[in-house]
Amino acid sequence: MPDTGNKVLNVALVGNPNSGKSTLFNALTGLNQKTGNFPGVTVEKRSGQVRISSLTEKTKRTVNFIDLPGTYCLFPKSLDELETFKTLTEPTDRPDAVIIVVDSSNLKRSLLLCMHVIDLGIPAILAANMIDLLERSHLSLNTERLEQELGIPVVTMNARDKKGLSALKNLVLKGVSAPKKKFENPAAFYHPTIAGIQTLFKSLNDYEAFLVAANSFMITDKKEYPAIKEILEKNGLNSFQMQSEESLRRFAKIEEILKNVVVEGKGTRALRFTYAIDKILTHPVFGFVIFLGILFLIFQSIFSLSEIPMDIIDGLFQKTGAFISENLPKGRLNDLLAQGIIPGLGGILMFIPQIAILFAFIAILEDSGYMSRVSFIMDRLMRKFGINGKSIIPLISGVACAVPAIMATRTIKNRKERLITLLVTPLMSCSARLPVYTLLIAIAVPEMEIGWFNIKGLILMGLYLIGFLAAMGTALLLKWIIRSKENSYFIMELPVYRMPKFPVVAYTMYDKVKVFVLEAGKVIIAVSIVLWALSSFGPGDRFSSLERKYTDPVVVEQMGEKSASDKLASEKLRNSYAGLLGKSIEPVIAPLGFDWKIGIALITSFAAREVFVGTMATIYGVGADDTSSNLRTRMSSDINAGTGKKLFTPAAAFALIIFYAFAMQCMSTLAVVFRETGGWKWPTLQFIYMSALAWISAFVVYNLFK
Amino acid sequence: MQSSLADLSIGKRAVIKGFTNTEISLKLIELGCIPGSEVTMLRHAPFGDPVAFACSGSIISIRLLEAATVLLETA
Repeated sequence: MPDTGNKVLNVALVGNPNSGKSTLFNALTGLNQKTGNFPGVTVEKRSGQVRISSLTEKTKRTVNFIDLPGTYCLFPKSLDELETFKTLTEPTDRPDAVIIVVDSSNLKRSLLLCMHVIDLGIPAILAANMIDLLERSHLSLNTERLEQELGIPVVTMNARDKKGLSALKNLVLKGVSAPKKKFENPAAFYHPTIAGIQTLFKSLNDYEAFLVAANSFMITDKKEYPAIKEILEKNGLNSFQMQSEESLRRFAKIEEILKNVVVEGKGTRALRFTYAIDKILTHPVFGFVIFLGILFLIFQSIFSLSEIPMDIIDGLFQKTGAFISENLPKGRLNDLLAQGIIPGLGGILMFIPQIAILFAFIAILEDSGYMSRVSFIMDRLMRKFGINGKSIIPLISGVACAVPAIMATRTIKNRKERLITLLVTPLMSCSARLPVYTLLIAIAVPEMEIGWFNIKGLILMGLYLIGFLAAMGTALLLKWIIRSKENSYFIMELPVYRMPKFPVVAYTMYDKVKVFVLEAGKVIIAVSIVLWALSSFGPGDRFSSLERKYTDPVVVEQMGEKSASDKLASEKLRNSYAGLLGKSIEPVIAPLGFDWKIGIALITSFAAREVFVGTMATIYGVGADDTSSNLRTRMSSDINAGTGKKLFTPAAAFALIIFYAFAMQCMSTLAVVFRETGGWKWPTLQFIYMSALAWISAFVVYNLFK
Repeated sequence: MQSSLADLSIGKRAVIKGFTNTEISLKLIELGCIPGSEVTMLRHAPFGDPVAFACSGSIISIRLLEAATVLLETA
């Protein structure tokens, strides 16, 4: 098979939201996506490189597929749409070819974007996706006619079933050429304006110059903006008017084209089906009841379905730790493995089942089209808090992870609403808090069931509710603080319902678990090693003098061998570097019922919350003779040296839970807020606010339950 | 008085005549709601706002305040 060069071909996917663009992207790239691609609504470029080959074309080629955020045309209105616009128009980013993904059952609307892209002159293929929806309405698409009318190749497909995928790959391999047609000639309508823009930007062709003029309000940060504005004013034009005139002219052409290509059906089957479901799901009463019911089901499942696999994973790591400590030569390396790395890793990897279940539900909600209904029924309520219905999507995704959730706020057009949403989203309980909650709830609450319900599941749901209430309360506060005159809109498509496909859900689960294991794994191994070192060594000769004291035959005789060696281990930890570090912040956290050991965990989990569990595992593992008992039992039986009572009383455990619910302990979140707001002002304020809220709430909870 | 999309009762159809707010019209136009298109009011969200209507094969949600800027042909 000949290999057509080594040059990587950059092929971008563009399309309306809900056109199945990301499904196609996943089908094309499989598991070859760059890590750090967040599933869910695409708001940022994602890419994946694959070698594609074909039997009919007898060639191979490396293709870098780029998934661009969904947009309806090249007149961007929000930040995610701007990203797509920039990629297609800026010479440095421009892909070699574009696959325009359209929903075949809604060609009229989809062809607007298609024509815009064709007029840019980038080599393009039309992927007429969701062809099954069209066929089910007993309509058919005249592909040849559409190819003629648009001047680009057309392939019908159904990305969810991988139908048409190889035909599309063949077209890409064959080489895509520039479109044979142009639809708009902007110079005919706006000649002086376009000529004026071209004197500012020498390299632009007529159409690109038109786009600059028509999108002037989105590029106010450009240094040429005043000059652009002046040209527009001189010619008596404004960008809004240019956009609406152009779109209307294009729609007139689209209707002409469609007459010959497809018989337009009024209310296709999918639409009628959707109407019927919406009657129930957006019902004034049932709508809310069902939404709460779904949330309830999710939290119950997270606990009940994951119990058995979690026990298996936990057991596996305990056995491995015990095996290593018995069978490998004794020494520092053995200690590091058996007491540091293995319990640290095991403590966190056992949460894989819970994370997988959580993300499966989120994927189902998004893939089915239900998420936008939640926006619809919540908009009125959300507005009272200074945010809008669209904010509910970041808030719900925040239950999985705040990082992609904060990026998802880009779909919110209004600056103030977007800012409030991204500032309060980290208060939603994310999946990294789940391990911390699970461990602490298990310590604080006895095992029991109330009727059908698992009490731990109920408490967990209560914690998510507390996170949500804190987010809403903070939003209300911010609504009064942040001032803005910008209008807020809520014009949004409600996509037709589709049965979630197993591969889509499975892919999201796989991808999220992979990111969790790799990212959390790296941090946890590093933290485990550092922590193990800090807790195994101490300054000066403290360790050797302790050893002399507790191995003195007289002392051993007095205390008994077992308690002498226990006392030695705990005294060593206390005098180690880690112990001294924890001690140094003890005065701040003592009012919350925490001791220096928890202090160490608070310090280490600043980078990422889930490190708490690993830290506890390492601290309680160091010096423990008995590596087979699990972390929970060891923590429950620990004594607070200060009070002489149990350390993890329900009061202290609940205070710690609340602390983790509110505290900003995630560097990735701070980094993404910094990036999205373009400065340190908001992440700093967010950090201070959340830390203060966490401390005060934990203080109140501890003193209430004490 | 001109009738607007905000006045259209559930289940009723009408044809878009024009818009009174350019910024709102742009968002609707790109969704395929152009003067001459038929709209059908589908339902109101809980508390009566926003509302959902069908137009050009899509279901679109809009707040009442925004719907009031969409003028309808009087039948």
